Amino acid sequence: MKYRFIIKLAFKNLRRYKLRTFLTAGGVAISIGFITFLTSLGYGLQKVSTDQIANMQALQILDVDTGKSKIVSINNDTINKFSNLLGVEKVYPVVNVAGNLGLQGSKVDGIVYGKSQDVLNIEKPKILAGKTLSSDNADEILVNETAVKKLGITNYGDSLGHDLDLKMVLRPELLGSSQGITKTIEKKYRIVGVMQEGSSPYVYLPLENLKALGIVNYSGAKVKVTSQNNVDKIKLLIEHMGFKVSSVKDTVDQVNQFFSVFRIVLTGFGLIAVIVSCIGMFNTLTISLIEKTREIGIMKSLGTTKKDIRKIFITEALLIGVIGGIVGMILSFLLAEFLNASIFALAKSTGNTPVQLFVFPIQLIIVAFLLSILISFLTGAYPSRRASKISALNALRYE
Amino acid sequence: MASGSHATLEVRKLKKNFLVGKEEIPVLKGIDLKVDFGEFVVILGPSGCGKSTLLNTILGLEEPTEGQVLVRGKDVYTMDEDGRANFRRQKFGVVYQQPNWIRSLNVIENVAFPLNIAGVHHHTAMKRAKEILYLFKFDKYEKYYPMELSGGQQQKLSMCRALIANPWIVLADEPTGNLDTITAEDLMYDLKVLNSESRRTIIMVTHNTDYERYATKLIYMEDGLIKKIEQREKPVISQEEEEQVIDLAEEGLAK
Repeated sequence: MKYRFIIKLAFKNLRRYKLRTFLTAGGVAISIGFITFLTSLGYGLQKVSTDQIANMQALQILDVDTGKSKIVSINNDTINKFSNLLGVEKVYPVVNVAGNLGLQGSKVDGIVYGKSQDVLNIEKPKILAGKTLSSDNADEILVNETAVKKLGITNYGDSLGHDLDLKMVLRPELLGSSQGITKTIEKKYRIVGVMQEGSSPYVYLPLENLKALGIVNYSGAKVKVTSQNNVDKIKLLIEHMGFKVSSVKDTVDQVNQFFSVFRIVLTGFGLIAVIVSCIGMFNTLTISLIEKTREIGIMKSLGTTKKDIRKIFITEALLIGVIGGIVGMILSFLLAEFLNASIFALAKSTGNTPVQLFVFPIQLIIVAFLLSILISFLTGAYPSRRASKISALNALRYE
Repeated sequence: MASGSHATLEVRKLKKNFLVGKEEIPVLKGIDLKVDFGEFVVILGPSGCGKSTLLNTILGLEEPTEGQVLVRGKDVYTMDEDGRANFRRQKFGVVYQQPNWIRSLNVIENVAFPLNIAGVHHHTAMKRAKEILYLFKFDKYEKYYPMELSGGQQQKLSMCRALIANPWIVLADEPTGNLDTITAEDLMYDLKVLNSESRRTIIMVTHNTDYERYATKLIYMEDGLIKKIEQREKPVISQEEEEQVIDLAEEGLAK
């Protein structure tokens, strides 16, 4: 029997029982739609959170510091060594020191970071008011919102243009001092901008400016690699040199891992719907088998092989499953796109950053499609086997 | 296979028991039968004597408990179920007391069904179905559904279906059972023409003794055994004619 004929026959059979076909395929559509909808929500949430952690460039950056080691230090030589590693694009030194911020009589402790223009370009801190540092050695400073608030200024914009009294404690490691002498420095810097991030107070100073205070060793370095694929390799190499390395990629990996589990949970809910629709479909196919007993009998006595009978039944199951699956995917896609558009419109009207809450990666579509085929085979296997085993004689006597 | 050396159909020491509960009920108790090419065999007997079981065993649908069914020397039950299905559609056409239809197919599609099973190209199948429907004056009903036709029409239609693949042997199980006398005679006439002019071998099961007159060979069955065989005529069929019918059947399933 030709496949074309079998498919045609299956279509005709399904058309004959329109309501039943519609209801069964509808059940499959709802379950496949539900599961793709939930899974796409999982993907969407994952994307939203990883996007917030890092832009693509940040994924290529390794943060290197000396950890607790007293033996290794990061200076210009080390920076050069890192730069010469294969797969490293650029290395940026990082300095951070403990400091005390003073403004109009109030004081607060915070961390002082030395940032070069290069690093600022990569990190792109969100500036709430003012602008970023203008050069690598200006007497300018960026403070974060928390620091400004703790200094008693409620409207952060008001801090712009004021001079910040900065008291810094330079540790002996940074000064390269073998005697272990700590140096305290007090200096004034003009506040040029307020940054959004951070729950504790911190400030950014131009790197060269900070180095000029007598710093020889850096507290750390940012290593930019040429591609994300190199991250793990370079990380290992630098770790072998005795340094402590961390990367945004680690965090992203962890978030991804969390969301994989989260997605499995969502998919699990969807699977319950799939199981219910499977039972419905199985029921329909079994009833249709019983109804067609006589037809099976005549087909057999006219010379249809068992194999062909099985094919006819499995094709019907496949048609129901695949049609239901495709309709379900389309429905869930439309619903998700509608919600995405609504969220986008809502975010725009309220002035928030729009997020895409539902994402349909190609693998989701493929897996959902394969799932609908799997459902068809699972539910169609038994009825079609039973159909092929029906004795033609009994079937023809069957009333 | 040399045609002369074998009977068209031969049944040897055929026994069939049915399992009812835990008890084995013998239905056929040892049947021996030979049918030559072009015969019109009428099997007569009361209900429950095993006529239908014999017919279905010949068709390859009911595995015998003992014995053999040979079609031109070929032992049907040495083949597996699918093999028998393929064999059946090449050699046999079948008409039952009730015309069983595939309900989602219309008249012409049902008639073309045996060709479709065999994998004949759809257009060829439909063309041949149209021809045979025309022959039986059904051409105007081809888009109807079979259940919309009368009982007699349906029975004729099932003849069309049985004949579309040009089988050598037509098996008919009480084909007139549900028909009124006139319609039944009409159908019998068609069978007779099919036998005498188209040279098809016909084996018909009935309990209506009126149809004895059509038979070239009459078989009386009772209680699972053949009580009497009456050879009324010996059809004279040349070797060429026989080969022609057989070739026609081969062509019938040509794709």
